[in-house]
Amino acid sequence: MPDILVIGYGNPLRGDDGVGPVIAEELARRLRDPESKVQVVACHQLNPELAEPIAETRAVIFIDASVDLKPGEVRVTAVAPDRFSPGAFVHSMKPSALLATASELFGQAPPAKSVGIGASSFDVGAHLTPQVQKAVKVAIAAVEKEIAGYLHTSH
Amino acid sequence: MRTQKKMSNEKHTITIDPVTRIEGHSRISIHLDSSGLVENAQLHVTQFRGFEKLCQGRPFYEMPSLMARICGICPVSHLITSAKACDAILAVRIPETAERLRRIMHLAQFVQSHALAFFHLASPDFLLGLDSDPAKRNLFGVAAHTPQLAHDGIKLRKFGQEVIRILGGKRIHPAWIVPGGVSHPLQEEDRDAILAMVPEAREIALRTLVWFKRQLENFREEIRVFANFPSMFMALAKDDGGLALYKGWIRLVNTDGEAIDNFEGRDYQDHIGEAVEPFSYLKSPYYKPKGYPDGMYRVGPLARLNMARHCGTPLADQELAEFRELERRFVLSSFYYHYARLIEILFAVERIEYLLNSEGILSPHVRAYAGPNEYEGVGVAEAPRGTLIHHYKIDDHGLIQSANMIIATAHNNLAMNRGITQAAKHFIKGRVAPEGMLNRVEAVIRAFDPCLSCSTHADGHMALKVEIYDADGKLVEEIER
Repeated sequence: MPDILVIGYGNPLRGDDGVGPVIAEELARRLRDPESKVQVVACHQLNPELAEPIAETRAVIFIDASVDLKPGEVRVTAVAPDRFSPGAFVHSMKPSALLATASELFGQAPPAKSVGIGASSFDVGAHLTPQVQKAVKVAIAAVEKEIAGYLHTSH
Repeated sequence: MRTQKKMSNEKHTITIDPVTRIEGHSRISIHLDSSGLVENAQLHVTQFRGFEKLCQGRPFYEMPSLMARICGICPVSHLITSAKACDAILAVRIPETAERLRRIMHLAQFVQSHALAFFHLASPDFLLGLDSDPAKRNLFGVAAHTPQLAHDGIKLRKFGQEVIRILGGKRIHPAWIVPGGVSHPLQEEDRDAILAMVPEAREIALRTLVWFKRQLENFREEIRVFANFPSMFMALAKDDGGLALYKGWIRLVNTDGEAIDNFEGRDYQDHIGEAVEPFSYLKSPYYKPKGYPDGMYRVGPLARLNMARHCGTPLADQELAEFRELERRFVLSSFYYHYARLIEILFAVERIEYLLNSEGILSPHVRAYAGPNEYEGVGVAEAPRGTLIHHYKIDDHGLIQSANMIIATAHNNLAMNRGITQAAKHFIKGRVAPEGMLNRVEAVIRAFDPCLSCSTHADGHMALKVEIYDADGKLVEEIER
């Protein structure tokens, strides 16, 4: 299993909601080396079966659009397992609930960070707004910094 | 979170907001009259859809991969239905092997989608009880009580996802299914890898059925009032009466099992109308000859098993025969959607094995090539939640002029609203309703397993709106948060 799991998620047809997968796909292109210790997943939403690979990694980084940040703002926050986080039991899960699932069902939840990107529009469409498009580079740099930090501490 | 709101005309509205453990953004409002009795209940879907507009001007052959990105829960259903609409535009018959390969991926999605609905969303109610502590009535509570049940759910999800990944090369939104067939044939090692996973998936399906059937006795009251009423049922149907998921006639039957109508997918607009209610963005399809709202029907696992005379695989056929004994052939309680879902999981696993072992499955001929030969194409398939319809019109350059989609969840909209009204009238007596009673009303919706996954998933994005209407349909209060 990889040392670090990066999960970019969101709906790619709902404007800025798709920024998570956009960043994940770009990161996957950069990390094509088969020896890479980082695995990147781009997905529509978080589902419970992700708990197993999460439990098997040393660290996980979630990437998602956020309505709690100003459009284009990028913020990195720590995520802790939380079995009561809101929205945990609709078809999609929150990162905190997924970590709790990893812990409860597979024995451990690794340290986790969330890279949030402030979104502006969730209108139907396959494109990011200019503000969020501009933030993609910043967010990628933030994710790469987190990856470097985890790899450094694990050796 | 639950709120109670008082209305000026002495009627009261209890709002369950949001509906937990269903997909997307929605709420239920229960309207009480001045004596505290339930007058009616409504499911409000507040997420916005507008994907049809997004399609305009795009080359038609891009539609399957685009449509697969609509939904994170059933991308394969949209992919297949869209590809079938494109097959109709090409006016080709796809190679037999391609059709079987499409079917395998389709069945895999049934497994993973049904597993999510049953194990992760509904099983806490069955295992821990509808009145149990809501803080524990979830997957963690299931894991603490019966770890195997929680693990089984994840294993079945993983089985479905792995089959899709092996076939499509990408777990989410695979672009393997294309107009005219599939993009590449199945390799022997990939077939063997899937076959190796079948026994465990089959075993899980069987033991879960055994467990669930034992629970039924504890839910007699719920079975009696969970959207339990006569209605039409609609699903794809084969001439031989077999369970049809990939293709067939669109058939409507009445409660006695008599066929009311039988038509080709391309004629759906002659038979199915789409009404819009002010309280929901979700359209309400209805059977046109009976008008709105009398033309209500149900789709999905319950409809399919009610209509099928046989599934076509040995273990699922045994289970279907037992299922039929529940209510002397036609099963009307929507509580049994869960039961039907489990039988369909078993069928899907068995059928995947059968198709993988069928002659010619490794054939290299998996795609028919053609340019557009029709200006219009309709694709129909059964998605896990019911009949899914895609309808495209193109211009001389093959660009989409218009697109229309009827999603499975919408077909059940009328029945879900009637179902929550029935349950609310039975369980809620007065203005203060115990949590367990409200959970029962929510559980009616969970039985249908509506999916609004085409909404957004941004962190913090709840997009909830509370709207209260008076008896004349006038908006008297609106709260956004």
